[in-house]
Amino acid sequence: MSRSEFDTSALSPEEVERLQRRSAALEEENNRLSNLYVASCQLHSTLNLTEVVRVIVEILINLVGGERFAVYALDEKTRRLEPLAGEDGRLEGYPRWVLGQGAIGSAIASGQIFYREKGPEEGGDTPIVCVPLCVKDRVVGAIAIFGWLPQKQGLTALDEELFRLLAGHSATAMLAARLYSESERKRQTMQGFLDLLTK
Amino acid sequence: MAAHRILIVEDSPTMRQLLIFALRRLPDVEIVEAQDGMDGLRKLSSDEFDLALVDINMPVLDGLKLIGLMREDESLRDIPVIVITSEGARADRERALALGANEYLTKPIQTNQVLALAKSLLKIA
Repeated sequence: MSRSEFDTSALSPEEVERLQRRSAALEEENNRLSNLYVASCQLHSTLNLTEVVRVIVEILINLVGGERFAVYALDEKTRRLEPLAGEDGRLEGYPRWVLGQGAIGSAIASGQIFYREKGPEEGGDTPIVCVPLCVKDRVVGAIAIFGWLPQKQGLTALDEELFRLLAGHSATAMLAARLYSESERKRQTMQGFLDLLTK
Repeated sequence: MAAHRILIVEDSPTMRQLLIFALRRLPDVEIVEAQDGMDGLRKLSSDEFDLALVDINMPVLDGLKLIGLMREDESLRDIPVIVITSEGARADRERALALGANEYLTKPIQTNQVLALAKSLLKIA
Protein backbone atom coordinates (compact mmCIF):
# COMPACT_ATOMS: atom_id res chain seq x y z
CA MET A 1 0.00 0.00 0.00
CA SER A 2 1.59 3.29 -1.04
CA ARG A 3 1.58 6.42 1.05
CA SER A 4 -1.03 8.00 -1.21
CA GLU A 5 -3.45 5.12 -0.60
CA PHE A 6 -3.10 5.31 3.18
CA ASP A 7 -5.48 7.90 4.55
CA THR A 8 -3.99 9.57 7.61
CA SER A 9 -6.59 12.30 7.89
CA ALA A 10 -8.38 10.42 10.68
CA LEU A 11 -5.19 10.06 12.75
CA SER A 12 -3.83 12.45 15.31
CA PRO A 13 -0.49 14.20 14.59
CA GLU A 14 1.15 11.98 17.24
CA GLU A 15 -0.13 8.84 15.54
CA VAL A 16 1.06 10.09 12.14
CA GLU A 17 4.47 10.82 13.60
CA ARG A 18 4.57 7.37 15.20
CA LEU A 19 3.64 5.75 11.88
CA GLN A 20 6.32 7.73 10.07
CA ARG A 21 8.94 6.64 12.62
CA ARG A 22 7.78 3.05 12.27
CA SER A 23 7.93 3.32 8.46
CA ALA A 24 11.49 4.69 8.64
CA ALA A 25 12.49 1.86 10.98
CA LEU A 26 11.00 -0.71 8.60
CA GLU A 27 12.89 0.82 5.67
CA GLU A 28 16.11 0.59 7.64
CA GLU A 29 15.38 -3.03 8.52
CA ASN A 30 14.63 -3.77 4.87
CA ASN A 31 17.91 -2.17 3.85
CA ARG A 32 19.77 -4.22 6.44
CA LEU A 33 18.19 -7.51 5.37
CA SER A 34 18.73 -6.75 1.67
CA ASN A 35 22.43 -6.13 2.26
CA LEU A 36 22.86 -9.29 4.31
CA TYR A 37 20.90 -11.45 1.87
CA VAL A 38 22.81 -10.17 -1.18
CA ALA A 39 26.19 -10.57 0.53
CA SER A 40 25.38 -14.13 1.57
CA CYS A 41 23.99 -15.09 -1.86
CA GLN A 42 27.01 -13.75 -3.70
CA LEU A 43 29.55 -15.36 -1.39
CA HIS A 44 28.04 -18.81 -1.94
CA SER A 45 27.42 -18.40 -5.65
CA THR A 46 30.79 -19.81 -6.73
CA LEU A 47 33.36 -22.52 -5.95
CA ASN A 48 36.19 -20.60 -7.61
CA LEU A 49 38.52 -19.02 -5.04
CA THR A 50 39.37 -16.04 -7.23
CA GLU A 51 35.66 -15.34 -7.66
CA VAL A 52 35.02 -15.67 -3.92
CA VAL A 53 37.74 -13.12 -3.19
CA ARG A 54 36.32 -10.84 -5.89
CA VAL A 55 32.92 -10.99 -4.17
CA ILE A 56 34.49 -10.13 -0.81
CA VAL A 57 36.19 -7.11 -2.42
CA GLU A 58 32.86 -6.02 -3.97
CA ILE A 59 31.09 -6.30 -0.61
CA LEU A 60 33.78 -4.23 1.09
CA ILE A 61 33.54 -1.47 -1.52
CA ASN A 62 29.84 -1.44 -2.36
CA LEU A 63 28.14 -2.46 0.87
CA VAL A 64 30.60 -1.40 3.57
CA GLY A 65 32.29 1.61 1.91
CA GLY A 66 35.93 0.61 2.34
CA GLU A 67 38.51 2.51 0.31
CA ARG A 68 41.74 0.84 1.40
CA PHE A 69 41.59 -2.80 2.51
CA ALA A 70 43.05 -6.24 1.93
CA VAL A 71 41.78 -9.82 2.01
CA TYR A 72 44.24 -12.25 3.57
CA ALA A 73 44.60 -16.02 3.45
CA LEU A 74 46.39 -18.03 6.11
CA ASP A 75 49.40 -20.02 4.93
CA GLU A 76 49.00 -23.04 7.20
CA LYS A 77 52.67 -24.05 6.89
CA THR A 78 54.22 -20.71 7.82
CA ARG A 79 51.22 -19.48 9.91
CA ARG A 80 51.53 -16.17 8.08
CA LEU A 81 48.61 -14.14 6.78
CA GLU A 82 49.36 -13.23 3.17
CA PRO A 83 47.32 -10.69 1.19
CA LEU A 84 45.27 -12.24 -1.63
CA ALA A 85 43.62 -9.06 -2.90
CA GLY A 86 43.37 -5.36 -2.20
CA GLU A 87 40.97 -2.69 -3.29
CA ASP A 88 42.96 -1.88 -6.43
CA GLY A 89 44.29 -5.36 -7.19
CA ARG A 90 47.86 -4.61 -6.04
CA LEU A 91 49.32 -6.67 -3.18
CA GLU A 92 52.32 -4.51 -2.27
CA GLY A 93 52.21 -2.21 0.68
CA TYR A 94 49.93 -4.28 2.91
CA PRO A 95 51.27 -5.46 6.26
CA ARG A 96 51.72 -9.17 6.90
CA TRP A 97 51.11 -10.82 10.23
CA VAL A 98 51.93 -14.08 11.91
CA LEU A 99 48.95 -15.81 13.46
CA GLY A 100 49.01 -15.41 17.23
CA GLN A 101 51.81 -12.85 17.29
CA GLY A 102 51.47 -9.14 17.95
CA ALA A 103 48.22 -7.27 18.52
CA ILE A 104 46.68 -8.06 15.13
CA GLY A 105 47.98 -11.63 14.85
CA SER A 106 46.61 -12.35 18.32
CA ALA A 107 43.27 -10.72 17.55
CA ILE A 108 42.90 -12.85 14.43
CA ALA A 109 43.87 -16.02 16.33
CA SER A 110 41.22 -15.22 18.95
CA GLY A 111 38.52 -15.15 16.26
CA GLN A 112 37.20 -11.82 17.55
CA ILE A 113 36.65 -8.84 15.26
CA PHE A 114 39.23 -6.14 16.02
CA TYR A 115 38.21 -2.46 16.09
CA ARG A 116 40.98 0.07 16.45
CA GLU A 117 40.41 2.61 19.18
CA LYS A 118 39.95 6.17 18.04
CA GLY A 119 43.24 8.02 18.00
CA PRO A 120 45.76 7.60 15.20
CA GLU A 121 44.77 8.89 11.80
CA GLU A 122 43.65 6.45 9.14
CA GLY A 123 46.34 4.67 7.24
CA GLY A 124 49.47 3.02 8.52
CA ASP A 125 49.81 -0.65 9.32
CA THR A 126 47.19 -0.93 12.03
CA PRO A 127 43.81 -1.56 10.45
CA ILE A 128 40.70 0.30 11.55
CA VAL A 129 38.85 -3.01 11.49
CA CYS A 130 40.23 -6.54 11.24
CA VAL A 131 37.80 -9.41 10.66
CA PRO A 132 39.14 -12.93 11.23
CA LEU A 133 37.68 -15.40 8.75
CA CYS A 134 36.98 -18.59 10.70
CA VAL A 135 35.22 -21.89 10.16
CA LYS A 136 34.43 -22.96 13.72
CA ASP A 137 37.83 -22.50 15.41
CA ARG A 138 39.89 -22.76 12.24
CA VAL A 139 41.30 -19.47 10.96
CA VAL A 140 41.20 -19.38 7.17
CA GLY A 141 42.16 -15.77 6.63
CA ALA A 142 41.28 -12.20 7.53
CA ILE A 143 39.95 -8.95 6.17
CA ALA A 144 41.70 -5.74 7.19
CA ILE A 145 40.26 -2.29 6.45
CA PHE A 146 42.73 0.60 6.54
CA GLY A 147 40.60 3.46 5.27
CA TRP A 148 37.03 4.47 4.33
CA LEU A 149 35.57 6.14 1.27
CA PRO A 150 35.54 9.94 1.83
CA GLN A 151 31.76 10.06 2.13
CA LYS A 152 31.55 7.35 4.80
CA GLN A 153 30.74 8.91 8.15
CA GLY A 154 31.82 6.00 10.34
CA LEU A 155 30.85 2.48 11.34
CA THR A 156 27.16 1.65 11.47
CA ALA A 157 25.25 -1.22 13.04
CA LEU A 158 24.83 -2.66 9.53
CA ASP A 159 28.61 -2.61 9.01
CA GLU A 160 29.08 -4.63 12.18
CA GLU A 161 26.47 -7.14 10.98
CA LEU A 162 28.19 -7.38 7.61
CA PHE A 163 31.52 -8.00 9.35
CA ARG A 164 29.95 -10.84 11.38
CA LEU A 165 28.50 -12.28 8.18
CA LEU A 166 31.82 -11.97 6.37
CA ALA A 167 33.66 -13.58 9.30
CA GLY A 168 31.71 -16.83 8.88
CA HIS A 169 30.44 -16.95 5.33
CA SER A 170 33.61 -15.72 3.62
CA ALA A 171 35.63 -18.32 5.48
CA THR A 172 33.24 -21.11 4.48
CA ALA A 173 33.20 -19.93 0.88
CA MET A 174 37.00 -19.69 0.71
CA LEU A 175 37.51 -23.08 2.32
CA ALA A 176 34.90 -24.71 0.08
CA ALA A 177 36.55 -23.21 -3.00
CA ARG A 178 39.97 -24.40 -1.93
CA LEU A 179 38.75 -27.94 -1.16
CA TYR A 180 36.85 -28.08 -4.45
CA SER A 181 39.95 -27.01 -6.37
CA GLU A 182 42.08 -29.67 -4.63
CA SER A 183 39.54 -32.43 -5.21
CA GLU A 184 39.13 -31.42 -8.86
CA ARG A 185 42.90 -31.60 -9.37
CA LYS A 186 43.00 -35.09 -7.81
CA ARG A 187 40.03 -36.21 -9.88
CA GLN A 188 41.65 -35.01 -13.09
CA THR A 189 44.91 -36.72 -12.19
CA MET A 190 43.10 -40.00 -11.51
CA GLN A 191 41.07 -39.62 -14.69
CA GLY A 192 44.31 -39.14 -16.59
CA PHE A 193 45.71 -42.40 -15.15
CA LEU A 194 42.48 -44.25 -15.99
CA ASP A 195 42.55 -42.94 -19.56
CA LEU A 196 46.15 -44.19 -19.89
CA LEU A 197 45.26 -47.61 -18.51
CA THR A 198 42.22 -48.08 -20.71
CA LYS A 199 43.88 -47.04 -23.96
CA MET B 1 4.60 -5.34 -21.07
CA ALA B 2 5.62 -3.76 -17.75
CA ALA B 3 4.62 -0.18 -17.01
CA HIS B 4 8.23 0.81 -16.30
CA ARG B 5 11.46 -0.63 -17.73
CA ILE B 6 14.67 0.05 -15.84
CA LEU B 7 18.21 -0.63 -17.03
CA ILE B 8 20.99 -1.24 -14.49
CA VAL B 9 24.48 -0.68 -15.93
CA GLU B 10 26.92 -1.97 -13.32
CA ASP B 11 29.90 -4.32 -13.55
CA SER B 12 29.59 -5.63 -9.97
CA PRO B 13 27.13 -8.57 -9.69
CA THR B 14 26.78 -7.79 -5.97
CA MET B 15 25.68 -4.22 -6.65
CA ARG B 16 23.36 -5.35 -9.44
CA GLN B 17 21.64 -7.80 -7.13
CA LEU B 18 21.24 -5.17 -4.41
CA LEU B 19 19.79 -2.65 -6.84
CA ILE B 20 17.36 -5.26 -8.23
CA PHE B 21 16.29 -6.02 -4.66
CA ALA B 22 15.49 -2.38 -4.10
CA LEU B 23 13.79 -1.72 -7.44
CA ARG B 24 11.67 -4.89 -7.35
CA ARG B 25 9.52 -3.14 -4.76
CA LEU B 26 8.26 -0.78 -7.46
CA PRO B 27 4.91 -1.75 -8.97
CA ASP B 28 4.78 -3.29 -12.46
CA VAL B 29 8.46 -2.89 -13.27
CA GLU B 30 10.82 -4.86 -15.52
CA ILE B 31 14.52 -4.68 -14.71
CA VAL B 32 17.26 -5.36 -17.25
CA GLU B 33 20.95 -5.76 -16.38
CA ALA B 34 24.04 -4.68 -18.32
CA GLN B 35 27.56 -5.70 -17.28
CA ASP B 36 29.45 -2.68 -18.58
CA GLY B 37 28.96 0.56 -20.46
CA MET B 38 29.14 -1.03 -23.92
CA ASP B 39 26.59 -3.70 -22.96
CA GLY B 40 24.42 -0.89 -21.57
CA LEU B 41 24.68 1.10 -24.78
CA ARG B 42 23.71 -1.95 -26.84
CA LYS B 43 20.65 -2.57 -24.70
CA LEU B 44 19.64 1.10 -24.73
CA SER B 45 19.87 1.13 -28.52
CA SER B 46 17.78 -1.98 -28.99
CA ASP B 47 15.05 -1.45 -26.39
CA GLU B 48 13.08 1.24 -24.66
CA PHE B 49 13.74 2.19 -21.06
CA ASP B 50 12.15 4.61 -18.62
CA LEU B 51 15.13 4.89 -16.27
CA ALA B 52 18.82 3.97 -16.21
CA LEU B 53 21.06 3.42 -13.19
CA VAL B 54 24.68 3.78 -14.22
CA ASP B 55 27.90 3.08 -12.35
CA ILE B 56 30.80 5.39 -13.17
CA ASN B 57 33.81 3.07 -12.88
CA MET B 58 33.26 0.27 -15.37
CA PRO B 59 35.46 -1.51 -17.90
CA VAL B 60 35.12 -1.17 -21.69
CA LEU B 61 33.02 2.02 -21.50
CA ASP B 62 32.73 3.97 -18.25
CA GLY B 63 29.55 5.53 -16.93
CA LEU B 64 30.41 9.15 -17.70
CA LYS B 65 31.16 8.32 -21.35
CA LEU B 66 27.93 6.33 -21.54
CA ILE B 67 25.89 9.25 -20.21
CA GLY B 68 27.61 11.56 -22.67
CA LEU B 69 26.69 9.26 -25.56
CA MET B 70 23.11 8.98 -24.31
CA ARG B 71 22.72 12.75 -24.22
CA GLU B 72 24.05 13.05 -27.76
CA ASP B 73 21.52 10.52 -29.09
CA GLU B 74 18.08 11.92 -29.76
CA SER B 75 16.36 8.62 -28.94
CA LEU B 76 18.17 8.23 -25.59
CA ARG B 77 18.53 11.85 -24.51
CA ASP B 78 15.39 12.00 -22.38
CA ILE B 79 15.93 8.82 -20.36
CA PRO B 80 16.48 9.86 -16.73
CA VAL B 81 19.78 8.64 -15.28
CA ILE B 82 20.84 7.93 -11.71
CA VAL B 83 24.61 7.74 -11.35
CA ILE B 84 25.88 5.33 -8.68
CA THR B 85 29.51 5.63 -7.70
CA SER B 86 32.11 5.26 -4.97
CA GLU B 87 33.44 8.73 -5.79
CA GLY B 88 32.23 11.09 -3.09
CA ALA B 89 34.12 14.16 -4.22
CA ARG B 90 32.00 17.12 -5.15
CA ALA B 91 33.85 17.55 -8.47
CA ASP B 92 32.82 14.07 -9.60
CA ARG B 93 29.24 14.71 -8.58
CA GLU B 94 29.17 17.98 -10.51
CA ARG B 95 30.82 16.35 -13.51
CA ALA B 96 28.18 13.62 -13.64
CA LEU B 97 25.35 16.12 -13.30
CA ALA B 98 26.93 18.43 -15.91
CA LEU B 99 27.10 15.52 -18.36
CA GLY B 100 23.41 14.94 -17.94
CA ALA B 101 22.81 12.63 -14.99
CA ASN B 102 19.61 13.51 -13.16
CA GLU B 103 20.56 12.21 -9.72
CA TYR B 104 23.68 11.00 -7.92
CA LEU B 105 24.13 8.27 -5.31
CA THR B 106 27.35 7.34 -3.53
CA LYS B 107 28.31 3.93 -2.20
CA PRO B 108 27.55 2.39 0.17
CA ILE B 109 23.99 2.96 -0.98
CA GLN B 110 20.81 2.69 1.04
CA THR B 111 18.13 0.73 -0.79
CA ASN B 112 15.43 3.16 0.35
CA GLN B 113 17.36 6.04 -1.28
CA VAL B 114 17.48 4.14 -4.58
CA LEU B 115 13.77 3.45 -4.32
CA ALA B 116 12.90 7.06 -3.49
CA LEU B 117 14.93 8.45 -6.39
CA ALA B 118 13.51 5.88 -8.83
CA LYS B 119 9.96 6.70 -7.73
CA SER B 120 10.64 10.40 -8.16
CA LEU B 121 12.12 10.08 -11.66
CA LEU B 122 9.45 7.59 -12.81
CA LYS B 123 6.79 9.79 -11.25
CA ILE B 124 5.37 6.98 -9.11
CA ALA B 125 3.59 8.01 -5.91
